Amino acid sequence: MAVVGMVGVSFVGPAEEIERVAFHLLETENFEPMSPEVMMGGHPMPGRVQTFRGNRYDALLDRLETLWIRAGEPLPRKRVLPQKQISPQIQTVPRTQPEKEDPEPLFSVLEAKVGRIVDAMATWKAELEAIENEREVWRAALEFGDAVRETGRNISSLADVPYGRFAMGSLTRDNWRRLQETSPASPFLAMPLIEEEGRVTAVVFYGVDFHGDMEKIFSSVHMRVIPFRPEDALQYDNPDAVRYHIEDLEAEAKNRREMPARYISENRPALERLYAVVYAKQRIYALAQKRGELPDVMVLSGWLPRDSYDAVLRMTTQEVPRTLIMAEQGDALEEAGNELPTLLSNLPLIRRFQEIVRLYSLPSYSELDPTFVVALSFCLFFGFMFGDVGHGILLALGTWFMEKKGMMGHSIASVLRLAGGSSIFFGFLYGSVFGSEELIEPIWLSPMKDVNTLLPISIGVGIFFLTLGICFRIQNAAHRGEWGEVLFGPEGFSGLLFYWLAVAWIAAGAEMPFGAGVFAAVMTLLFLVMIFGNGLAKYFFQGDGIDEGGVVHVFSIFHAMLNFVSNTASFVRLAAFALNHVGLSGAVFMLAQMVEDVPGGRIGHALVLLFGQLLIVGLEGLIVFIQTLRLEYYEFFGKFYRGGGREFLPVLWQKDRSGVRSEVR
Amino acid sequence: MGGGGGRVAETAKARARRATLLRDEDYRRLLEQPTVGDIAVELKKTSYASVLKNFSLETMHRAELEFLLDAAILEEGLAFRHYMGPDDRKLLNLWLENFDIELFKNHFRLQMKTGELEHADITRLFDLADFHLTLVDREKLFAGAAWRDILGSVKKESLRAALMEIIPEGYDMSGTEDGAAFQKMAFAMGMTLDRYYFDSLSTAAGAMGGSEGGMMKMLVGTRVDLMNLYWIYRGRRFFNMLPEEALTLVTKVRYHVDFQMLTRAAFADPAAFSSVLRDTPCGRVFDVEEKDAALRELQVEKNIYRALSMAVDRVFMSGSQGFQNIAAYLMLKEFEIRDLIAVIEAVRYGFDRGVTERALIRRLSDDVAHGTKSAINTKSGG
Repeated sequence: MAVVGMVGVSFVGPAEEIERVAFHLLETENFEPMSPEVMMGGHPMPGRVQTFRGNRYDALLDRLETLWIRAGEPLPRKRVLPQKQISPQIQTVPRTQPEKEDPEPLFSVLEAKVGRIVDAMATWKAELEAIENEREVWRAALEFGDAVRETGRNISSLADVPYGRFAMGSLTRDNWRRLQETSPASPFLAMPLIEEEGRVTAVVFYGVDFHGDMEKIFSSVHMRVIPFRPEDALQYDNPDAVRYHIEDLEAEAKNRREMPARYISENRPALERLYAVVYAKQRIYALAQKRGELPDVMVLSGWLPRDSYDAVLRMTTQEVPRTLIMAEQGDALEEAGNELPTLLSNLPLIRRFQEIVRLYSLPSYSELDPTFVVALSFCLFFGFMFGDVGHGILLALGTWFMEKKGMMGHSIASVLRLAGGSSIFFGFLYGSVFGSEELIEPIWLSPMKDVNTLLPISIGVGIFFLTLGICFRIQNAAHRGEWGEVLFGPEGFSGLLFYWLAVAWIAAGAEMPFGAGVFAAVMTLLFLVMIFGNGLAKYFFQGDGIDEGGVVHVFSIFHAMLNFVSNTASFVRLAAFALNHVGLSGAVFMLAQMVEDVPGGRIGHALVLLFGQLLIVGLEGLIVFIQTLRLEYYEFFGKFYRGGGREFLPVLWQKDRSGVRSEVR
Repeated sequence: MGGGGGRVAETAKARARRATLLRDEDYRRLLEQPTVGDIAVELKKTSYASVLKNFSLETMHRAELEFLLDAAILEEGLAFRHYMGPDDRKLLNLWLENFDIELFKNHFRLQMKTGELEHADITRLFDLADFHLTLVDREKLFAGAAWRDILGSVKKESLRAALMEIIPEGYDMSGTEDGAAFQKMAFAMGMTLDRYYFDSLSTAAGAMGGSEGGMMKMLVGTRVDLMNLYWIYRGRRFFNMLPEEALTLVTKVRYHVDFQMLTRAAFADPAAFSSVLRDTPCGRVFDVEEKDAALRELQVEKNIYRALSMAVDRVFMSGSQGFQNIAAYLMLKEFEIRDLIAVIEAVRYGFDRGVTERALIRRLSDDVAHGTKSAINTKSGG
């Protein structure tokens, strides 16, 4: 139930051993890489050490995946192969390896294998393009021939016109529009032949003298000119022969399109094994992406949760004896000015409320994790304001249904289901079922009848949570060693005592057992302590405290005092919304009663009741949810919480689990 | 927020932001700085503080500072989002796609190793800001080394297809940076992206109604008209294009300068370009007497932005409320950044400061250069 302690770890060793460490870390999915420079106190790496940002396996994997994409098949399952199969060559590399040799010999092997597949794919693609281009020529010729034949001529007769030329070509619809627009102002005539899939195949007639300029114009509209030699024109004059040829070309194109799928089916086991190795390598070097490298030595640094450290240490001692491990506790690294990642650890039920905390801001590494208190208080506040057995059940069922249908995320649905459970619990306490207080007896009280009890209780809850918030603030300040803030701050011990005395004075009806004079003297003393808090902190704790200027400081004290009043009063909403719930339910019952006397009244009655209940759950539920968040974020968090933490993002085995193709999530 | 309240808030914020633009004395002070780092330090005292935080300013590189200033427009634009309803947000995203396009072009050039910023630098600069790109997938773009990967970062299918027409998907870019064919492709790619941007923006503005729509049409339309003419002007004058070739550069959507006018301009003798436009409001923009071709182009560019500044002034003077105020403000910011980049380059390369002052889009109080014989010059003593 806290922010997990981190250890900054650096592994220094031979490349093949570091690769094995990276593989192990990848399996644990508990390692966030960082630059080795962080472990060196921010000093740049020595000149001989090369640092990396890229991952050359990215391109290899991308190219390999293209095969399955072209085949229209799903990518193979991401198998975790034994280390031996991932780096077979590396394990046989002698220790006295020459310095200049490739530290990853397997890469060259894999690159060659993938290269052969890529070459094959390029060949199929080139063949397909050639066939499709030829098909385009013949289709254009067929269309053009048909148009020319309608005028009683044929294509071959156009080939020897002395002053005119024609060209056929294919271009996008937008470029076709541009060509057409320019046509009236220029000595050429453009006519469309085929329009499909956003492209236009067109024929353009122009004068012989304009040939050179025409080529420039075709280039400016990116027209792919179809090679069409006049001497070939005769063969286009027979439309049936042209059609048969087009059919042959289409069959050939289909054959080429199926090549990747056929290749996969013929070589599936070998291809899947190759994919598994390349994938594992890509992930290993995604994890080791920020590594430092000497010719035969690699440095891998990152953050590791403290409780995982021992297991990693055991593994390295046993399996990678030549690797040196350097570790430093997170607290020390934080003190040195590094920003540590935050990983929260809570019990399963409580964990769901991490999302509520995260929605505000993740706690920073050394900050207190408020999730446990948020889980309890969220349920308490929500149930208090929306206590109803029937509506709680509807809310829980509704969120379950919406989550199932993908309309709501798991985390928020879990929180709302627990909130629904709390509503049911408070519903029994209030004796409220679907807004009716007649069906069951209240175990505790009825909001409408016992409003005078409910109001002080809600204020009491507020006082408790504000006190808890200040206590957390004191703890955080003590952790940071800000003792002036702890003792003399308006939201430290002095402020808390001031607040409690004021509360006690009001609760006792403005009468204190030790007399008004003593009370006034103590309050004045506490107020003065707060006013001169900065000076006292400087005197007692040598320079502690922020010197923000006298006037600003006095105003900040008054602001803190006013906040005590407004924050406490804000908790009145607990009682107010509990009353509101009863009132709104009453209004629904009244409306249902009113429509009962009109024709079809029973149906109207049922409909009003049904929609009324849904409205209460949907609308009031939403408002209460917002009010609960407000109490958490503004009243409670405002007292102690800073947030601004950076999430712990370990490199995972599934590269696209985050939805973003990124090396470090 | 959206609705009437949203419009009031958008307008108020745009007008308030307009008051934070740099003043004449700021430009003069920046021009007096001895180094780029000193300019960065000075800029940190202005509205650019937020984009410059977390950087070591004294040692800042020229390209790095220019990149951050460009990013300031995006940051400014995104700050308006809180006040907007879904329609205006969509429009703002569209407006800011210009940034995506510039980033795409820059990355493309970086991959050709012609840029001053290394890829790692640009990634680092972006690490520090949560910029949301709509047209381009940032992760994919930065990860992309091959043209196919860079192309894959474009989210819009139709634009991707248009780019593929120019540079085929499997095109190997290695070692092509100096080739004329590559330069031609890069130019065509840039033009396709720009045309897409202005066409999308014009279509969106055209669909808007009321005074807001009218003002947006005027703002975007004026820019599109001037850009179309400028593209033809450059194509004819500097790239020796045929009139028909130059005409294929223009956008699909136009405002006051229709295709007939564009055709007249394209078919005119390049030396007499401005005479064809003499009777139109665009005539003065291209009427430059400078003999040096490069300087003449600079002067024309300045005139275009000054003409657009006048359109922006019309928006603010109209007192109308709505998105047009944001658009107008963002245009002013863009011009300011163009001026700042001119200042940075003047300081970095030792250009004559007085001449640079006169070459700015903003008319500084004693600027007498506009409309007269240009004195835009390059290096001091040059």
